[in-house]
Amino acid sequence: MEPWYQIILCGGRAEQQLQKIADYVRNQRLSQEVPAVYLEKKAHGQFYVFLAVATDGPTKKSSALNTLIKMLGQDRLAIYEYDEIKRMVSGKIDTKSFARRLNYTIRFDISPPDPFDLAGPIHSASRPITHQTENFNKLLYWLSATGKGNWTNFHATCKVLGMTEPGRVLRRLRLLGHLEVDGNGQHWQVCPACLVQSGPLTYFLAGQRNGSLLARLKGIAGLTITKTAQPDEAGPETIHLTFTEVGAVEQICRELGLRWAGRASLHHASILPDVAGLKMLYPTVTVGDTAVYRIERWEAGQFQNNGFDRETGFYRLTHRLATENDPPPINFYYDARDQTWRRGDWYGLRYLAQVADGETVQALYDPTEGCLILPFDQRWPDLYERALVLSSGKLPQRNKDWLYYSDVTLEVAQLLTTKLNATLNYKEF
Amino acid sequence: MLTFEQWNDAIIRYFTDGEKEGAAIFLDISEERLTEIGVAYLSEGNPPPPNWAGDFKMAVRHKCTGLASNGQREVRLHRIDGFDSAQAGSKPSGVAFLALMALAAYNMAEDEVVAEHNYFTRLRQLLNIPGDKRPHGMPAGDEERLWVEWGWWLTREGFTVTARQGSGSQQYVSYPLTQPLLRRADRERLFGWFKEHNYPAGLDQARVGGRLRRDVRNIGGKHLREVLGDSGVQRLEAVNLALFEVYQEWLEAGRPATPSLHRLSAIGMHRAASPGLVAGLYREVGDVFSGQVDYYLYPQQPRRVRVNGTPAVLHQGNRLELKTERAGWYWPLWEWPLDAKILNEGVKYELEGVAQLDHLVLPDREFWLLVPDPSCPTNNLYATWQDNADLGTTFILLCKAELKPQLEELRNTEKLTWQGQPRPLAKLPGWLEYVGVQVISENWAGATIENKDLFEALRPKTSLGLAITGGIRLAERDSWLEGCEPQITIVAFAEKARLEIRLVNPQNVTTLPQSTILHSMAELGNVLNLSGKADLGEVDTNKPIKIEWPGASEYIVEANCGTDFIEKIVIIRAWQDLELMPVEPQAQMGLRIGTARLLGPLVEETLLV
Repeated sequence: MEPWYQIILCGGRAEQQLQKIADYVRNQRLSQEVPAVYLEKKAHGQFYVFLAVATDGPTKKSSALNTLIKMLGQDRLAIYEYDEIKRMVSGKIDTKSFARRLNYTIRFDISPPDPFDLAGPIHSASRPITHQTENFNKLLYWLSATGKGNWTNFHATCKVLGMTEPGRVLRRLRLLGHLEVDGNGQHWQVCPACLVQSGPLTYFLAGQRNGSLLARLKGIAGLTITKTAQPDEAGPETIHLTFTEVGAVEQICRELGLRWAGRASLHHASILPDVAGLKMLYPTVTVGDTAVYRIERWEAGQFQNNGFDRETGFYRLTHRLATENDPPPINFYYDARDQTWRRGDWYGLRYLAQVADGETVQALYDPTEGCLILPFDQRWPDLYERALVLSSGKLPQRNKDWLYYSDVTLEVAQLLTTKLNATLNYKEF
Repeated sequence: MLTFEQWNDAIIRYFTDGEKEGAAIFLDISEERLTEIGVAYLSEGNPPPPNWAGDFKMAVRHKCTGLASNGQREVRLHRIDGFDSAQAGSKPSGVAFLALMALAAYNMAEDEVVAEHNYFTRLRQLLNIPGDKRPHGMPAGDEERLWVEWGWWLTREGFTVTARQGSGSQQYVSYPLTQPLLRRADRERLFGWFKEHNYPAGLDQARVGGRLRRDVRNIGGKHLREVLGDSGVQRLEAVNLALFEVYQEWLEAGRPATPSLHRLSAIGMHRAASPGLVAGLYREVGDVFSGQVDYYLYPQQPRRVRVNGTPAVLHQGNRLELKTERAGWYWPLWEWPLDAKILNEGVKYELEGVAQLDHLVLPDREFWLLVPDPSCPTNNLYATWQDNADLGTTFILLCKAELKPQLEELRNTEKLTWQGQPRPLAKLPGWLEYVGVQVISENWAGATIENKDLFEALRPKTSLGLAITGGIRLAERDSWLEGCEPQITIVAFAEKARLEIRLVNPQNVTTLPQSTILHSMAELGNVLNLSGKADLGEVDTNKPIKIEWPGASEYIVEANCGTDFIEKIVIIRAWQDLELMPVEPQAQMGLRIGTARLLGPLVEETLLV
């Protein structure tokens, strides 16, 4: 309610009268009826007090307010516009507000961290291990029901589920073929439910899933369903399907509305480009004046602030004047030859830098186990690692400094290592 | 004569078509409104009646009244049936009768005492039953079933129910009395006010409402003053729309001092025939590295217009079809990010594809208030989804740079606050963006900023808000996942407020739930099962309350503080009941290599080379 103003002609010391009003309003709980008081600032003698009164006109004053007015002095007319107060007084106006304050604040993360930033160490599971799989399963159900969204939204949901590293979660789900992200990681979309072939009669489920789909799969005769947890429970469980005959797959895909991905691992390995082509897949970004950023280069396993000499490498750029409302630091690959800054997944940019530095990238293939073993600190770009993970529907098992990818065919291993300029060694019998 | 059922369907569609989620729906019926409904929704394939309002009354009388054995006319509400709350798509079947009840309230003169006999005199006139008491055949509370069905359906459709039971002698009469926003006398008074104060053309809805509220003390009429009083954000938008309609009528009638009934009826027909679309703003962080923000035109769907076809915007030889993004809104015009010229001067684009819509307008304004996405406040998207922010909501203010001193004045006097520093926008020179803006003081008496429109837009219109935060939200409106439910916070200037939770129970729509006092949160499930409504008593405001939701169901949370109340729906879904969202791969997703596109595990051949 818009207040009107009761004018009172007072005598004495203005500060004392103001204190008297404040005490009375507090004691009588009058702050809603008298939200503010304005007082003509004069050193001595008479002065005006203007009480802002939130009632439906001067006839609706409470008895407590009438008492206050009598206590203060001689009441004069009522006015309706604050601007009239200014016209009535010669000196400055002291204001005291009694209005209630809102004791509630909610803050939104204007800029959640870069989804591709994986600079921190991988956290070990702080919760009982069974919760990890359960939470990843829930997350996949939520993604399936939601369809698409942005990184902020994904980040918030991970937090509710107790997942402390949403960037890694996003990456793992992408490796498993459950979702896709756009070029700068700001938007995601769940993949449609599909069957991926991992062996002659074995398949796994990728993309959307829900209770109804799993129940319908369970009801199919001649189909065996097994669920296995991801290594270190780092993702949703893999749902393996084993058929007794090949011909049944097409029919089931048709009946359940599943997309058929076939041997996705081999298809991807065949299509993906070599390292030079990979670089071109990452979008370039106009950085402009580099002086406004703190530029750190990835060296010896961490970002180091050694200045920017325009050398090819993997960099992190932080705006020097960044405030809480500004975007977070972003990682780039800088190519000195064409002077371009490229943005993309963490391991991909790091890999480009490692190759540009002339590092020898090693890979070891175990033909008896069908297992490709890669050094952890030379982890492949996401697109290539996804081709490996899609061989089995399982994330790699980490053993000290090595990553073990299971069910990878020799053909896939050879295709990918060749494209990535990696040296493929074979484990001896 | 059209049938009762045809009018029923038309009225439902008229009041809900194009409305946004959460909109407060009033059966704001008048004779002119009935003309508008008739022209927009009932003229296709039907010869127009000589008088739409008369046809409506005839249809209601024909369906809902009959001659008793003593030869007197009586009400027969039992003839209204067919609504099945459990059946998808079933619509409430008594809305036309409720509209007639609301019309009786609209027709009440301003000086009429709000008493049962005065109301029923008006209702009987419409039903052609002489007398001044409840009509025969309609015992006290008989019609409540129809109000409850209507309210239940509105809640399920995502709207806010406005008809409420009263107390004492107004227990049932209160339902129709709450519906008309402006009475006939109010419209007459507004015409005079617009004329006297020479209101300019080109004002938008928020500015008309804001100006009238500033002058509320000088505008005559008790009812109009009550309407213009502070009454919560949801009601405020409906009131603003009603005021704006009168303003438009006044302009279209040639700015007369008084409305003429004949002319108003003609205006009703004209309005139904040629409205345009109004756009707000949609904000998205375009470049995550630079933090560059882009603003887009965000067309609002036409309300109360029957749209046949898809409207398309024409601009510089380009044609852009408008597709529905969500209830009440089309997708933003992604192809044309806003520049400062458009924002400074406003813009008007030609439309084609829908006969009734000929243009899309972005008004020229000095500031825009953008609120978080009501369907998912954590997704960092902001748009003009509401004219005003709910109490406690942090919003974004985009304004001309010259307003900075006035905003600082408001902050210095602790009226509002914001996060960080206002940011200039590279693509919108001359404009500033304030983020995390929040109103913090209840009373803005004596705030002396020059821009009165800005003052009116920012000052709090309610002393109560309901924040439903946390948990995991689903794409479906107001839905959360079981086990990951939200917390409730009553946001208020007062320290305490009353909290109630009730079930939206389709099995129980014919009786109103009885409130039962809850002694501990653990009882919530049992209490709701037994009585449908739990009274959680006085609770601390501004602190999250952990509700022990008793499982997957649909709930209404209501907070009361003094005369203010607010309610919101909370739907809890079980994990096993989740459905797969249909997925249409988006252009920017996946990886294109040659003619192939990698989308998750799938490799698709495309026509692109």
